[in-house]
Amino acid sequence: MQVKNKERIRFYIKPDLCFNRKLMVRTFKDKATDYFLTAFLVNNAFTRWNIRFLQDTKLQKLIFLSEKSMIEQCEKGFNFYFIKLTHGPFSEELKNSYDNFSQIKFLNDFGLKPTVHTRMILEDFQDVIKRNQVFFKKIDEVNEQYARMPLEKLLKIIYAMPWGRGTRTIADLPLHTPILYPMKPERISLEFKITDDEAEDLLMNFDPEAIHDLSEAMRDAQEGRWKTYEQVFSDL
Amino acid sequence: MHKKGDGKLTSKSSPTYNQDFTDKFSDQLRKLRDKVRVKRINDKVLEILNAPYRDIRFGAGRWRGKREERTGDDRIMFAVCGQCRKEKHQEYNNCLNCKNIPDNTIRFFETIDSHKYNEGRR
Repeated sequence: MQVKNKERIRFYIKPDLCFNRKLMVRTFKDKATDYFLTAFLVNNAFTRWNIRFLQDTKLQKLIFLSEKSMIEQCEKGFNFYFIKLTHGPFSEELKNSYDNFSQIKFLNDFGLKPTVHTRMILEDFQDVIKRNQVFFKKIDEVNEQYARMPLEKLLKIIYAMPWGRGTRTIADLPLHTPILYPMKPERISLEFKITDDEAEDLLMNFDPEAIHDLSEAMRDAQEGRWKTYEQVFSDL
Repeated sequence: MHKKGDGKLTSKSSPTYNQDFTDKFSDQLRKLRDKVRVKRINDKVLEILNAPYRDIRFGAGRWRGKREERTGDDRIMFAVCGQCRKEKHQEYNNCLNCKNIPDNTIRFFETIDSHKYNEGRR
């Protein structure tokens, strides 16, 4: 995974082409895939690579590196946009995702530790994992190399990565420069395989409103608040 | 279809299955302003009551232990008590006084509008 100094990274775009971003809207399937891969990455970092705490910044970098390694092989897995901010690559969509994860108790607020719900999702979607081994292997490799690395060292490695066709590195780029974004369809050699039904099921599981409704229904069941068919349907 | 000539929904008791609906299920139906969807949900509920063991599909993740059936973009989440016990799903559904509920009861938990998760594909 280590990027060689002279390696040219084709997936970076020039700042003057950033208008293209508007053309690459994440689909519902893309979002479901992003949520699922993120859940896997976090769980993998904690359970397989034994980290005890995951900072927001480090999560951003681990996903950046995973997405980068996929895009280098023209594999469409993660679909986050990354721009350069003060601490290197940052994705607003990703930040919204893990804020959402905390809200629905999918990850703990402190340390982004996976909860029982994370494990349930990963168990119930084993077929998706088996079908897409290539992507999960890449995430595992990134975690193996970087998850336990001190954040400062990880940031230095990322800052030193080359950007574009010149000699510039990510550290040289102006703030807000787009540095990673989903590929155009014609470049994709391998796509994450997920059915419409699986994508729907995943999105439901990451939707705070759906979780809230379910909690209310479950509370009714636990507290014995039931109605008859006639009470429910008679005056509709 | 179980609709009178005046357009009102009618009930049809299942000969073999008791039915329970959470308050949440009832509230969700009342908030639906689309009569067509209400009628479709009613029809699907009656279908489930008449033959609960066809087309078995369980929910995933947080919905583990609940069966689901779809009508249009709406999902109906429910459990058949006998099946719930057999599959050891009580820990997920966690109903009050579970032991006192007959096996031939179908408990309807909620409906979910899937439209926002599928870009309107159905």
